[in-house]
Amino acid sequence: MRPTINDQVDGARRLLTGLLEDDEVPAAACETLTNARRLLDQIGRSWAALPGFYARDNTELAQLLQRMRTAVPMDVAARIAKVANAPAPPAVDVNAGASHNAELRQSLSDLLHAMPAGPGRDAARGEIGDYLRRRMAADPA
Amino acid sequence: MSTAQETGTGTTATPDFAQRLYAWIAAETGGRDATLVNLRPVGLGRSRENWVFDLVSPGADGTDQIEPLIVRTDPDGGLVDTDRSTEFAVLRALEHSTLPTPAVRWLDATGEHIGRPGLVMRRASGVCDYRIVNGPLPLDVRIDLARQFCDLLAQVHGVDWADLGLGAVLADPGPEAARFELDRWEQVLRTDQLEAYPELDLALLELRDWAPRTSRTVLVHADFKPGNILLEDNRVACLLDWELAHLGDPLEDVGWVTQPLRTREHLIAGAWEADDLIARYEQVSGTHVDRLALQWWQIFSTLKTAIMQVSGLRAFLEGRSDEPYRPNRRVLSTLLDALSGSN
Repeated sequence: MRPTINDQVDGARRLLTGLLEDDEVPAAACETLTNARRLLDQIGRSWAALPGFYARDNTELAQLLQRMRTAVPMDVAARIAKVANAPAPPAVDVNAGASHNAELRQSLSDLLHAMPAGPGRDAARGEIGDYLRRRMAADPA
Repeated sequence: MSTAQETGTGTTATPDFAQRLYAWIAAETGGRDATLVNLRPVGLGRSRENWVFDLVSPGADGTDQIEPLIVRTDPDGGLVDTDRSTEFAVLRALEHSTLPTPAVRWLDATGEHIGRPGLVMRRASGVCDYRIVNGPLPLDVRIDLARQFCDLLAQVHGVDWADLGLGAVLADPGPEAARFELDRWEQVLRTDQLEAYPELDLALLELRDWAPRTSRTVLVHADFKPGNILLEDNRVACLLDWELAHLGDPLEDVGWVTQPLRTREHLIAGAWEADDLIARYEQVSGTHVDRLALQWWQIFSTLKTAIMQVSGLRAFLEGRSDEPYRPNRRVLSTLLDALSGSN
């Protein structure tokens, strides 16, 4: 149904671009308008891909946490398990997906800090680094 | 003393700020017959942290003496939270060195005069271009400029900070400067982060494992870049923005200017590479650059940039800044790649 989200983002961009092309708009206002347009660009590029990204990343990250939590003290492992075992939110609910993703990422930070020194830790950090690079490449935002 | 509005010179400053500034300067100058004119903001955006103006006062020979000044105030929000009192003390001390730095005049440490902490300094002449090293100038001129910047950095590190009394203003972290800075920036992250950043936690943990010891404590500028250097006729005229300056490891600055994120500001592909800069720095400073320690400081510089973006994001989301910063893909990818390469 029109206007779609893209229609609205494109429309807002067009309105801002019109102002930016107006010579009478002060430079300070242009700076702010440019920032606003940049945010709209970001939304326009990423919003449609975000639900799928969160669904995939939540699954991969939960599996990573499940696999690695055995290497950390039991109390931390239990907290991580609770988050990693939580049912994944519906893929269409982008807000729930983002919230769950933030919880999982917090668990990953907790795991990193709780990991005892040793060769196992170095290998785990390497694996986590590889995962974070893959995530970075896939993140539409 | 009168303000620009009263003399009809015209200004774009808000009346409240102009009046506060006028009252402050009047108090500092003892109410002598001086006029504050041409007050206007520098830069864009809502925070308007920097304002320039001229102080006109009668000279002994009856002619007007014009002193170009700039007032720097704390922004509501930004990438870094710094202390104007420390900046003022550092600049005042550096007036007794051979470094080209702006002369400071007055300090409002608490904001009692102008509403927020700020300092007034002499406005230095010259132009700055943060991309001049890769701009349209002929290659030989750009290489000469890059060498001058490198020499200036060595000159900063050669300052006798103890003799200037900076030991009373800045903490000396001694040989543990790397861990000291890591702790400082982790604290900034913990204060400003709104959510977990495992990328940054991974970097903090890995860097802590192999933090190098510092062989000599120097004055570190901590934001050394062409965008903070004023030039006159392609010669260095003034080094600005000392708000992040501290005592520490000289490789912190060398790492900052040779990190991958800053390549276009400091290096010229095929003509002035990182190895050229480091060799020149070693020659001018008479010191050896430990390449492994430098690698640590380069990764630290990228981590610091990411943490600044976290602070900037918070300032934007809380409405204290108009700049929509965020830890972006380029910075985080560079950081993760650097960590991978250091293993």
